Amino acid sequence: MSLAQRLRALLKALEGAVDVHTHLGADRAFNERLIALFKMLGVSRIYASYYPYDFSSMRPPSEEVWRGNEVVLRYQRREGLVRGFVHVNPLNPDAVKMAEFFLKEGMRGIKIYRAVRAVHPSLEPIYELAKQYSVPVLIHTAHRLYPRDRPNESDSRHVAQAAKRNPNVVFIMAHIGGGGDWEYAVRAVKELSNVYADIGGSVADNSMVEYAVEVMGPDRVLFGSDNIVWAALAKIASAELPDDVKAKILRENAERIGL
Amino acid sequence: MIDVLSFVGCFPFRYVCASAEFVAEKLRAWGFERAVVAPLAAVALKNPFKADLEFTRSLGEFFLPAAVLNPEYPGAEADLEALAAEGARALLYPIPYQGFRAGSIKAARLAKRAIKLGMAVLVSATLEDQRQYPRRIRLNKFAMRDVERLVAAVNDERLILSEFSFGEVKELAGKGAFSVDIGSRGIFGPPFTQLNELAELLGVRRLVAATYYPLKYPAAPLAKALLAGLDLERIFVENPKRLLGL
Ligand SMILES: [Zn+2]
Repeated sequence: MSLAQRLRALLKALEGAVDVHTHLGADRAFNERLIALFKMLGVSRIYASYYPYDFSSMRPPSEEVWRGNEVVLRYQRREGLVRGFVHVNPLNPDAVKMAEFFLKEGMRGIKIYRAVRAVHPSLEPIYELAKQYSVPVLIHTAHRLYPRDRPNESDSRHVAQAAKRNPNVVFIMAHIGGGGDWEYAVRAVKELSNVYADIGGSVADNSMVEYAVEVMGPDRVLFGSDNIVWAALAKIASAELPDDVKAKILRENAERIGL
Repeated sequence: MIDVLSFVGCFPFRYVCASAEFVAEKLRAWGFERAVVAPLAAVALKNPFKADLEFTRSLGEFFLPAAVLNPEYPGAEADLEALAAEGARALLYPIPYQGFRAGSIKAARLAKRAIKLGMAVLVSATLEDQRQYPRRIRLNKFAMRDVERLVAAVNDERLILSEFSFGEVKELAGKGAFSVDIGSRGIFGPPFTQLNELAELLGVRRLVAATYYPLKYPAAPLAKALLAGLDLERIFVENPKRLLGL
């Protein structure tokens, strides 16, 4: 393949893809740029939750979470490309009510960030809701961070435990390229058929996607960028996987879980 | 296209083992005609000279060998000269793995000697995300003020900074001349303006690209340059040729 052909292929690598993990935030220019980038790449749908760094803390108060979710809902209504995941801080007294409100408004999943770990009891009613509405729960996950875990942050073992306790809920373990031991992460959820993993994050270690497929099988690996579009593109374009497996990662697996 | 840094050999922290033939074949398939390459076997050695020497002698046409040296080790300068005579075209400081002080007089002196010999000097802040290492392995943290000292002392565009974040590169701008590897993990956002800002701040002349293959996926720097709409010819061809004296 000539270089020009390579480059054209690179720009087409994400055509028709479904990105299960993106964020839209307070900065409108940023949101527009992100959306334009996905459109340029021919991505067909992105699932977005509110950019967690735009909240005042890891445990944002209810009013803030409402406002953040409304921002995402507005984009969902305006942009054919965007579908929402409702951000939930399960420690807020109205967490379930809020999640249900946005799911009724048409959001397609639930995003849990770093308010509590995936095994925290406050999440049980949220998981119940996910089951009831048949929507996946995307859990921000760190993957055995060096030198130590951070408080209230799930790692792959917490995701595995929560998934074991809630076998009828679909879990998405976020960004295996988000930093930490991604080999450990995919092994930790290997046996749990209700756990999927997205390939997002800025770590683009060679063979990361191939390893996830080798361990978890080709049906549970999802395309996600966590807004790090260049890394997601590089991972898919470079991964040495057959086209049918790439098609599963880019789109078919997401469709199977209703995305 | 020229890749300013790739690797051959085995890595101690993750199962990555690749021969020179394998790496050359993959990089060629991505459109690279030459690549600077460093021996993974030398990265964590206190005295990497013999590993460098054997490696430099073993390589074919495609590669431009980089020597990994610890500037604080006695005899480093003589080692550098011997390796240059064997065909080494670059000096690599993988700072945390070697553990020397990047701001030391010795580090600057060896880097300047390399540049005098017509080599590029690659300064890598890390070869991969260290948060994935076994917990008992603690690599040396280095201070940005040490890197700042090195940049100020060397003050030459052939000093190529790699795996520094956008914020760190911005902090170093104006402290001395240097070039930047756009493949670095912490560069090009979000926000997606970072590469364009760097091009503005340092000049496109100062941007080059390293794949870090086989540690990282090879398409990353190409993906970034394409998404940012940067001049591929300059970043992947003209600049590395100039910096490497090709
Ligand atoms: Zn996220």
